[in-house]
Amino acid sequence: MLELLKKLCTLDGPSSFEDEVRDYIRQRVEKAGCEAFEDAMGNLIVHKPGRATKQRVLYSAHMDEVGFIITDITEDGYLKFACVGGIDTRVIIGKRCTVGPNRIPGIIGIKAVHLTTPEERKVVPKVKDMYIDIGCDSKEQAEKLVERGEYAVFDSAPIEFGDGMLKARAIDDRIGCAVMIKMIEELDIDSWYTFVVQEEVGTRGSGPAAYRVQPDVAIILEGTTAGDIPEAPKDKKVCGPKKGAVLPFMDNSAIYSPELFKELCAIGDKNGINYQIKEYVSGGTDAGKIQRSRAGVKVAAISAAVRYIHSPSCVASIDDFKDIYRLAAEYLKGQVK
Amino acid sequence: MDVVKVLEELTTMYGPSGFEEAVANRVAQLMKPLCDEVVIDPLMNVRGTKHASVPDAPKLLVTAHTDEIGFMVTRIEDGFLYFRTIGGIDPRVLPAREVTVMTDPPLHGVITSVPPHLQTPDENKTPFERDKLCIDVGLSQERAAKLIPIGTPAGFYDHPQLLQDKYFSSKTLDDRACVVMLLRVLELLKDKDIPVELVTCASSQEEIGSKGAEVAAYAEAPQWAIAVDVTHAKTPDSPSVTVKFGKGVPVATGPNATRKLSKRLCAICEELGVGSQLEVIAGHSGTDAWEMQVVADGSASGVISLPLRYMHTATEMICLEDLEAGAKMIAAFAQDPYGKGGAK
Repeated sequence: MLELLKKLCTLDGPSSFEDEVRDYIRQRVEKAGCEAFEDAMGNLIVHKPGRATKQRVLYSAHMDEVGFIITDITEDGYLKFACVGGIDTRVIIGKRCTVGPNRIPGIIGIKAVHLTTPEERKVVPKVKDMYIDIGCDSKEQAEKLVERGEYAVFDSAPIEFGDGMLKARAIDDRIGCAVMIKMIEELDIDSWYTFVVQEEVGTRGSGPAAYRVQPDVAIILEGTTAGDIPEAPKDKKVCGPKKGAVLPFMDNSAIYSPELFKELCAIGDKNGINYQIKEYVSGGTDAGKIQRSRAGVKVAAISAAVRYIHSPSCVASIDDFKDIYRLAAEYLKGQVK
Repeated sequence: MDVVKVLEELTTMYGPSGFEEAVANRVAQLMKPLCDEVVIDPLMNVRGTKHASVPDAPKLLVTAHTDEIGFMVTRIEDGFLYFRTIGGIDPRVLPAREVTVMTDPPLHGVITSVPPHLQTPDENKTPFERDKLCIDVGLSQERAAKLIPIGTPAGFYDHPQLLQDKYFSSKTLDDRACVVMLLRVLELLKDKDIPVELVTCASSQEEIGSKGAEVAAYAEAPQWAIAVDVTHAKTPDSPSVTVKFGKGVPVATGPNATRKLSKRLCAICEELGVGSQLEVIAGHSGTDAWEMQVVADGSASGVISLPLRYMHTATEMICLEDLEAGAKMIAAFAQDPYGKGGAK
């Protein structure tokens, strides 16, 4: 699964630009003998036929990632941009990015420290004052390569480091996509999977996708904020890599089904799967939209603890990925009639 | 020489000030086939000499520094490495930045940042506090303390990129791009007779006050001491900068640049048709030339620059034409330091 995740983390897919990710997933699931249906928004819906279950179970993960959209091109050939999804400006300064599917290399530049005043160094530059330098000398030259409305993403290749850690961009939520692909490939139990679009701009894709599937139960597979770093306050440690799959009891979008939450904990205990309970309520997930789809759906989430989420250098534990897969798979096995 | 390949190789090596050995060894290897003699001195300066074809020739020393800005581990807590910087780094470029910790074998790391989901409102309007940032090497306290001695240096990690086949971006182009320029000078002069004793020096410890160049200038006692270093190229957020990419070789004028030498360098630029951009520097040039000018009985000093955007970040950027123009100009000076009439 690690190789699959690394591959997924090299594909581009800011919200509404999920094409590369979707095409790759479609190809994988079709190879596994499943049909993949793309709805009007671009969600990819997969039904895996197999042993009958007690109820209709949906797994959902989002394909999109945070990124940028090119808003304008200056006379000097620099690209102006806006952030797609929640990005802290402070993590993009002086980073590399690639623009569009042709991956035109660019730099989110900042003037040299030598040219700054101490006061300036205390101020975070505004996105509207920032630019991407792609090495063009004029607007005309840049316009031949990049259109307004094109996307850009962080240029950050997956790297394994430390004791079993992975650094990559977009671990949120390619980890969910990777787990679902593996489930489709390896399990023979009737189940549904939605690879959804536009989570990062307001959990937009998951509602329509769940509406179509009509599940009884949905499990959201996500990357979630880890706060186990020295700078984070003690009451906001949330969860951390290497402590197993993260089980939240709620987030800002939904209170999860207490019954499902307990069931997942019990499955973890019974099978010796490492899990941790999220200790802080932060962020929102697709759970909210799916929970209130049609006449209501019981929801739970199984997440990966990701440090520096929404930055070019997300960090997560490789062992945790296995725990997430096992927990998700064991739940489904328990649903067989 | 494939300039881009050599740039890629040298800029992805690690050598913060005082830790230049690996870079110095590699540069010495590259210099050897192009020089008559190459030495590495106690401060890790690499000095390559190409002898003059005439007796009693004046000596020309040209330096470009091998060291880079970086970090040094000062303390380890919960497996996270606290650090101080080596050389001037804007703390705003650090969060989520990748680094290489120079253990053997090296360790990969990520500089920490609190994610948006855990911030208080408006927290993101002020930069992260420099002293609270640390390096995450993905290790427990026990493992980190065992593998990483306090005092271990670290450098920016990034990958080189060619932009539009015309520009090149990497970490540490300051000043390894100019080291490559010196190698290119030697290549241009290969098998050519020159009327000067030419010493190309890849100098150490520039970022902390040109300590390498100081001793190199003493050892060589040159007539001319020229520093080749990067200078700021204009970007949208630096309107006060006048130097631009592709508009000629920046040549300094001011107290640190002996006027006669500067004039000759500018004249050569015109003769070669590469053009020059005069950089007026009122005092300290911030280069090796400042120290070299006053070593021993002093020398005529000059500063030749390579325009560079985003200095002291991991995404520095140069224009490849500028590197070639600078090399041509230095090679031409070594062949004809006095110009028409030959007056000294």
